[in-house]
Amino acid sequence: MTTESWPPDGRPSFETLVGHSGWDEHLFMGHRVFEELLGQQSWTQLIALSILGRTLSEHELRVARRVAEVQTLADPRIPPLWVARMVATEGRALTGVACGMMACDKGVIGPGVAERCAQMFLELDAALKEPEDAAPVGRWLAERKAAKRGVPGFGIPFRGRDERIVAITRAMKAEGHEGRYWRWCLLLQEVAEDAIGIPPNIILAYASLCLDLGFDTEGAGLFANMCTMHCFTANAYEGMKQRDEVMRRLPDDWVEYRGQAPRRSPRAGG
Amino acid sequence: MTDEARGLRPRPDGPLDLAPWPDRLSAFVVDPRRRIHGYAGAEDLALNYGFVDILRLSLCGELGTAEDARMIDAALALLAPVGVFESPGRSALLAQMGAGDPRAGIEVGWISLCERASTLLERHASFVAWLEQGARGEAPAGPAMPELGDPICEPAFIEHWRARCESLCPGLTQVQAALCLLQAAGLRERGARLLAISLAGIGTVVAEAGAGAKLGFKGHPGDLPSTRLRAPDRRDHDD
Repeated sequence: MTTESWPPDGRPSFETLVGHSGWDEHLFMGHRVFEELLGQQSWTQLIALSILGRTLSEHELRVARRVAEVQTLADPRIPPLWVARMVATEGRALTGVACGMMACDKGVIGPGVAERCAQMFLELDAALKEPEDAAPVGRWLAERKAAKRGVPGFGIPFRGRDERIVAITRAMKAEGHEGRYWRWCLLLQEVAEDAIGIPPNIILAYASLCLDLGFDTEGAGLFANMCTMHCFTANAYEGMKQRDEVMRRLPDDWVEYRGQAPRRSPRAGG
Repeated sequence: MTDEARGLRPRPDGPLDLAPWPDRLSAFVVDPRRRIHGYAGAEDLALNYGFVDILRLSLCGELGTAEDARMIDAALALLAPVGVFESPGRSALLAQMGAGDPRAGIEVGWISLCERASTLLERHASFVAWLEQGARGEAPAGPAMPELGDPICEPAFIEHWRARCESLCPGLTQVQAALCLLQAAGLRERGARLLAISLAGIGTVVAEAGAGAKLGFKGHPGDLPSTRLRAPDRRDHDD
């Protein structure tokens, strides 16, 4: 074992907590893989551990699992899922999964918004101190919108309310979850309609719960994204198996070309 | 055979079923006959223009001048060397080794180059803003980016292009000079800059991946940089 003056020849190096491969045992995030993790941790726990650097308590794990489960919205017509399916249609499911998830990372829709949303919660918490009273939360939200500082976690396309935030709110009540940021989320849900006239969406809940679990803002975005992986996987795998021609090239009748009419270039005498 | 016999079931109503979608997909650049902004490929563009001309046409909607193409060419040449010692090159190498297929090196190389291009533009935000505002006054100082391999541009290069690209001035780095040329040639959107910077490096990245992959994993310095193992600094849950 080497602990001091490593590496010995002055070569460049970097610190890592993530892993080390040994002879009979490996390390992951400071844990012995076979002795401490094997048979004892769920996939959700391993993902949380990989970002948080610690394992979740039983209550936290239940919250994390609800976050993952409620994100199960896998209709192929949802834009990032289109991406996963269409890329995989060319032959490789994993590339489809990766591209689909990249398509909504830190984006304007989907779980990647959780990072900006988590930042908003931190600002709310710093401004109003305690999640107790709805009225100041409503004023804070309205002022934020009026100042065009963005209200991530609000707005839901094609419907008046987000059924997922209803479901997760019910689930958190059943879990008895009363985390600080979740309480801010409940207050924001309560005031949203009157304060800004935009309904809250599930990202608001994800972000608050991820903060309660101890994730930082970037970790919240990453964890929320990772929790959707099953939706991308299902679409990419099915797309890869089907290799449907209509996904690879849309028939011409269904394309409306709205660009330049046919013309000749100057060098062709046009 | 009925839908039911084929294992299909009726689609229930939902928000996406009732949404007011358009019936057809809109296209603006390539028509179903594969013309680009109205110009035929094989009968016109491929006979009369080079790839850089077509790149500019695709991005700007109109063919540029021969001078525009030369400036884009020069910018791409400045940005072309991306080494295996940089993240896009090495990640492409490792991907090609792992997959045993150049496809993986190209895919990973492209993605990594795009990430690098984004970082590079972020660090050059004030310089790009200066260009977009007409390059008036003194150019903002360039960020120090030894890790991104951005030396000061050769005076002879600046001298050669300065008459046609007024924003070029002595002391600019190669990346800044390339950004000046792209701007002068009409590539003025963030997407066009990102594409040009990524595109410029793909050749060297893929070539290094192909050459290095022949050495195999045992020929790759897997402990360079080396790792220093950190002890966990956060406690696990209490229950």
